[in-house]
Amino acid sequence: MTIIMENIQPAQAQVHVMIIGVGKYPHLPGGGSTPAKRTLGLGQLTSPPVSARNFCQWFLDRYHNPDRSLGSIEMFLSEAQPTPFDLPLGAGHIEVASARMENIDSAFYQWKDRCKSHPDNLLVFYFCGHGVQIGASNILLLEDYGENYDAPFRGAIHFNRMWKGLSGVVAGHKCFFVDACSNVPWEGQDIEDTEANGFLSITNDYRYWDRLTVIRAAVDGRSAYGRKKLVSRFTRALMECLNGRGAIYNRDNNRWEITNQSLTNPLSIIMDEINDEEKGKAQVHSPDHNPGVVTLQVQEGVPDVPVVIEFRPADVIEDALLKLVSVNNRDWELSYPNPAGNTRTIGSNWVVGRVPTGIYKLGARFQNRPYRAIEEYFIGVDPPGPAPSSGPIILEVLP
Amino acid sequence: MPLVFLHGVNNRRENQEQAFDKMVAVRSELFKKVGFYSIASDTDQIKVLNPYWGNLGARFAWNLGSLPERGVEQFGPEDESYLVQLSAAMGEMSSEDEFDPDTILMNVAKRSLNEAIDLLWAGGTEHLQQTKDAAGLATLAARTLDYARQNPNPAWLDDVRNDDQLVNELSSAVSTWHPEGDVLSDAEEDGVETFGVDEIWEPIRAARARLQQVSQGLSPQSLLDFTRKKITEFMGRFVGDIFVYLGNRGVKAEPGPIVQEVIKNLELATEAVDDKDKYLIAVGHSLGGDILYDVLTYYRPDIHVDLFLTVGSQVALFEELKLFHSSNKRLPDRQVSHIAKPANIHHWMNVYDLNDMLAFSAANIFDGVVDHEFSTGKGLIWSHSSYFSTPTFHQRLAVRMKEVFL
Repeated sequence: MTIIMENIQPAQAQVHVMIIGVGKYPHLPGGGSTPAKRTLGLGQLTSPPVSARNFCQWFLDRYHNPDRSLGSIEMFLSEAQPTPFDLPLGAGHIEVASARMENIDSAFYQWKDRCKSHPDNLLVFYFCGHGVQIGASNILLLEDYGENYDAPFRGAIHFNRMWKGLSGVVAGHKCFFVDACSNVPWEGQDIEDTEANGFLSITNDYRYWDRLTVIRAAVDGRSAYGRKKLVSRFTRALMECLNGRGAIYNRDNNRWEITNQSLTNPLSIIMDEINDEEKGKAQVHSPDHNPGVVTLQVQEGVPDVPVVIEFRPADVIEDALLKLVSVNNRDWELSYPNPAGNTRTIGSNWVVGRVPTGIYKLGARFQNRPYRAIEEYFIGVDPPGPAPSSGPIILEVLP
Repeated sequence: MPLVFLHGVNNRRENQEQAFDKMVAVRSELFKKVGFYSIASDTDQIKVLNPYWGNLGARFAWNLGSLPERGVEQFGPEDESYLVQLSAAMGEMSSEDEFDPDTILMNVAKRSLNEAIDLLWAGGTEHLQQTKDAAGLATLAARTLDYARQNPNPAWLDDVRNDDQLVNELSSAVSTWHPEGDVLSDAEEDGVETFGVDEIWEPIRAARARLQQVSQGLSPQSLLDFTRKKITEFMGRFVGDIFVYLGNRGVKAEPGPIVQEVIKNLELATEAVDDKDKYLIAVGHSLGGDILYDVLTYYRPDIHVDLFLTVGSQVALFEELKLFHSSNKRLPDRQVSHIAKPANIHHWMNVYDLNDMLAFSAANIFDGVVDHEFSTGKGLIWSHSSYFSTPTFHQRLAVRMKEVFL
C-alpha cells in the first residue's frame, strides 16, 4: 500500500484517488522472467509510470476544489527502475508499491471504504498500462500478468466488473480514467473467461449509477499511445482539460469549473490536436458513461488557452506588425514583433501563445505589402480554444 | 509518379470483392513503400492505376464443371493463400509426414528469415481490417525486410520454439530496432509505445494463427491433392483468358474492351507525369505484360513508357508464335536475330522465377531487354501468382530501380 497523501475529514465530502501506472511486465518479452503462456504481442512500456506520476503530481500541486478537499491519493507503479516519489513541500520521498495484484487487492477495499464514507465523496480511478479486450470485457494488465502460467490473467483487473461493482456501493460520483488499449489480441480470441479480478460482486442495485464517468483512452478495437518516457497522449489531454481548457463558467458560483460534463468536448478537441502533432495512427478515446454532474476542479482565476491566428494569403504575415489587446483587462496586450520575443510566427500563423479567456481586439499593419490594415478585429477566447472551436482563427486579409 | 499495373490471367474480383481489394491495396502500397520508393520524390505521390479486366476475361458456361473433382474440398477460397504458404513450407518433407501446425513458420525462418516474412505477409493481407490500412502493412514490410537484411540470423531465433514465439520475437525485435548508421532524431529516439496490442502487427499475428488452424491434421499428401485441383482450374482460366483476349482484342480503329480499358489508364498515367515525378512505369504481370506490349507496339505506340516491367510474362513466347499485331513473321532472319525494343519503351526489365512454368525469358528474343531471375520460393505451382505479394520481390525491385534510374 502506498498512500501518497491522506487527510481524511469524515464530515466533509472529499476526493479519494487511486492511481496505477504499469510499464514493467516481467512475463512479457523483454521482461527477463519466464514468458507468460500468452504474451498477446505485448512488451515493455515506459510511458505509463511517467503518466501516472504526472497525474499524481497534478493532484498534489494543482487540485483545487472548495466543494471537495483532497482526502487521499494511493498510487502503485511498476517501472523498470523503481524510483521513489517526491512528496510535496520538501516532505521527503516515498517508495511506491509495485502494481501487482497482491498489493492492489489489499488496498482496493480500504480505498472503496474511504470513497463510501461520505455520500458526496468523489472517487477517481486512473490506470495507465497495457489493456486488452477479451470478449466484451476490458482487461487491464498488472505487473504480474502471466506470472501464473496456467491462469495468466490472475495478474489483471477486470475493469468492467470493477466499475460496475463500485457503482453499486459508492454513492458519490465515480470517475474512471483508463489510459490503455481496447483492442482484441488474436491470441485471446479463444478465451471464454479470463479470471481477471473485478474485486466486487455486481448487484442489480443501480441507485448510484447516475453519478458515473467512465472514459477510456481508446474505443473498442483501437490502441492508445504514448511517447517513450513521456506522458501519454490521453493523460496529456486529460490534464490539459483539468488545467483549464475543459472549464466552463458557472454563473451561480461565479467561478470557472471543470466538470465531468464540461471536459468531454474539449477532451476530443485536444486529442485531435495531439493526434495531429504526433502524426501516425490517430487515437480515438471513448467516453463510455457520463451521467450526473460533478465539479472536478475549480479554476483559480480565468483559464487561459492557446491561440493561433492564421493569416490568408500566407505571405501577408512576413512584414506584419500585429497587436492583440484585451477588452476586459486594460493591462493585457501583446505585440509582434516585440523585444521580449514571447510570441512568434510560424509560416502564415501568428502563434500568440496562451491567452486568458476574454474578448480581444486584433490590429494588423502590413508594412511593404499591398494589403489593407486591420484596425479592430474582435476575437473571443473561450476554453478549450479560441471561439468557435479549436484550431487557428482564420483571418482573410483584403488587398 | 504514375504506375500502371496490369494484372494477368485468373484474376477475378467477382464474389470476393473485399479480399481482392485488399490484395490490390497491399500490392499498390508495396510498390510505393518498397519497390519504387527510391525513384519517387514522395512515395505518397506515386499514383498506382490498376485497370481491371477480369470481368471481361473467360466465362465458363458450366463454371468449370469440366474439372475432374478430386482432393480435399473443405477449404474455402480464403484458405488458398495459406495452402500456398504450406506448399512453400513443405520443403523436403515426405508425403507421409504430418505438419506440426505449431512450427511451420519457425522451420522456414530458421532456413531463411526472408522466406518467413514473405509467408507471413502473404497471409496478412487477408486480415487487414480495412484497405486503408494497407499502407501501414507495406511500411511494416519494408522495415521488417530491412531488419532481416541487417540481421539475417538473429540470436533470438535459436531460442524460438514455435510460430507464436517467432512472431512475438520478430515484432518485438523490429519495433525496437534502428537501422545501422541511422542518425535518429530526438522524436525517433523517444519512439511511440502502444498500451496494448500494436494494431499494425495484428494482420500478421492473425495470419500466423490462421495458418496454424488450416494446417491442423494436414499432410503433404492432402495438400498435393488440393494443389492438383487448383492447378487444373488455373490452367483452364489461363488458356481461357488468352483465347478471350486474342479473340476480342480488336484492331487499332476498333479496339476491344480490354484494350480500351488499358489505353484509358495509360492515358491517365501520361497526364499524371510532371517535372517533379517524370517517370511513367508500366508493370505487366503474366498476360498483362503481353497485353501491354500489344498496346504499346500497335494500338498506342505514341505513349511513352520510362520503364516497362514484365513479370512472370509470356511476351517472348507470344512473339515466337507471332501472336502480336506488331509481330513480323519474317523475323528472325539472317540480318536480324532479335526484335528491337520498341522506341516508346525506354527501359524494359523482364522478371521470371525458374519455378514459374508460365514465365519466359525475353532477352533471347528481344534486344534491349534485361532479364532478371527472382525466386518467390513458392515452388512450381504457386510461384506464378506470388511475385507481388512477396515483400522480398519489391525489395529486389528497389535495388534494380536504383540501378536503372539513379
